[in-house]
Amino acid sequence: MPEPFDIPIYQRAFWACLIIGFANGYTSAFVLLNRSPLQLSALSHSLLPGIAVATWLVGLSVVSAFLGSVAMALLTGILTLFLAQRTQLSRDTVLSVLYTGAFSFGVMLLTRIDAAQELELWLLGNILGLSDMDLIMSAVIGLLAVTVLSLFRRAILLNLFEADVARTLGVSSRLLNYGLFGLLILVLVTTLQAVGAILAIGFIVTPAATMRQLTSSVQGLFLGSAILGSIGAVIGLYGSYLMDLPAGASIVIVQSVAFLIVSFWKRAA
Amino acid sequence: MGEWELRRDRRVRLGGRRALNCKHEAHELRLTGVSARYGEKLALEGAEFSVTCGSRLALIGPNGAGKSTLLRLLAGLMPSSGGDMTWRGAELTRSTREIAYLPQLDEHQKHFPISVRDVVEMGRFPHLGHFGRFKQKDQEKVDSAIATMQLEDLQGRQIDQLSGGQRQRTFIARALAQESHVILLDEPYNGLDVESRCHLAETLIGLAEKGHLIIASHHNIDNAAALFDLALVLNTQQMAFGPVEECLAQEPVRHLLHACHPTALPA
Repeated sequence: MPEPFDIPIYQRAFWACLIIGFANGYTSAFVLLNRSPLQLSALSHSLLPGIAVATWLVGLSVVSAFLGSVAMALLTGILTLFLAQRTQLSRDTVLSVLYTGAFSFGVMLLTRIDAAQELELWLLGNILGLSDMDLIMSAVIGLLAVTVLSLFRRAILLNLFEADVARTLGVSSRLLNYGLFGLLILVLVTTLQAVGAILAIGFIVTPAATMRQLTSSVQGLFLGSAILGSIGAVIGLYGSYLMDLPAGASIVIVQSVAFLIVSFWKRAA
Repeated sequence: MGEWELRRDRRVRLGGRRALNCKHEAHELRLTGVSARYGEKLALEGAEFSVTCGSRLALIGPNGAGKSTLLRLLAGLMPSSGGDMTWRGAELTRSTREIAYLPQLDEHQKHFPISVRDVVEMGRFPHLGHFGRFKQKDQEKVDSAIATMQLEDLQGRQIDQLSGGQRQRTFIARALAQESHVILLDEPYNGLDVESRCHLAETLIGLAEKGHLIIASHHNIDNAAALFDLALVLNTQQMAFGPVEECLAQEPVRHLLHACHPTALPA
């Protein structure tokens, strides 16, 4: 049996795993501290109609799907804030209603425009079939995320820890919140396009959840999660080759198993 | 009452009267006819008083009387809807590093992976901004704040592993590292055990002696006179301002606080 990393398609997937795993792992530390994993999961579902509409209007391409997704994420986010205020319901409640509605609408659209196979691609993606464009976008957005989260670390941590105190110390809380929300959406959308929704959420949530149990330093959490994210992805990819499993699912399983092992191995706090 | 009196003379080692922050006690915070609203709802009206560095001012009044609102106004966290606030002669319209704000103890995010020292270092943000390098001077300010609050042995400890009193001291140390003059505290004695309350009382008295202006909302009128020298009684409207015992002796104030605190002041 040939080594998988001799095969060009696996070489490309190997780099994708390293890049996406690192950038998303790094970002997952922020997601954890920001307590937003469920919001991101919900948002990822609401992107489907955006992709569907873009496909319907101009045909499916990396760029059209990207723009459709970003537009849909912004629409869902803003509508959630607006309706939560208007109805006095919690944001989580409104978001849950909206994302299930949006997701169903997306499924309906895909059936209508005869692109039902897009649904499976959206869900599980295909890390073995990334285009150059996918890879480049992942690298650029990933680099952007790591840079922003590192450069503004001081203010970000202050804001997450005690938002009011951060404001009295001169942090522009609102700007930071909106900016980082936008950044999260960009990371989510590019990752989702490259590897599908399930893997995207696994990438952007699981590494930090595992790492948090192993470290009590912020630096350790960010870097450790990034390393865990990329190593887990590469192991998952290798495993999928050895056992002839779908690569995306295999990567998520490796990340999840790592989380379970650490959770049960570490004594309860 | 006894616990407070016992400790009042045993002042903490805070450097005595070496007034590090306020060189003279003339730094003045003055409010004239200040009001604030949350949307349509009036939260505070006609706040009018003047205090200088070195004082300990208690904000007293029932729940919803505007105590927290006044603290948030002074911290620059919300705009006033009328009146003037001046600090050291200049109009106070936004947050300044000279005024530190400590919310109630449980306001911060739980299970956050930072140490006591990390929290104190946050106080240097106004001096460093986003990209300033943490220098020797910053290190010294943080060390000195930690030493003043007697946190040397705890500085590597995770913030979640501290008692309420220790966390309170950490947050005060951050206010010192910030080089603040005024320290605003929202119900600082809430949720502390007896020993921590004594320790905090000594600390605040010591800080005022050093020249800080301490302003804290406080709901226990039994010990207000022991812990503070001035009181501002609020019931949305300002009801009284002055030395604590004089304020609490006024008939309308007695009536107000008696109504919400039946055991406090026998008629």
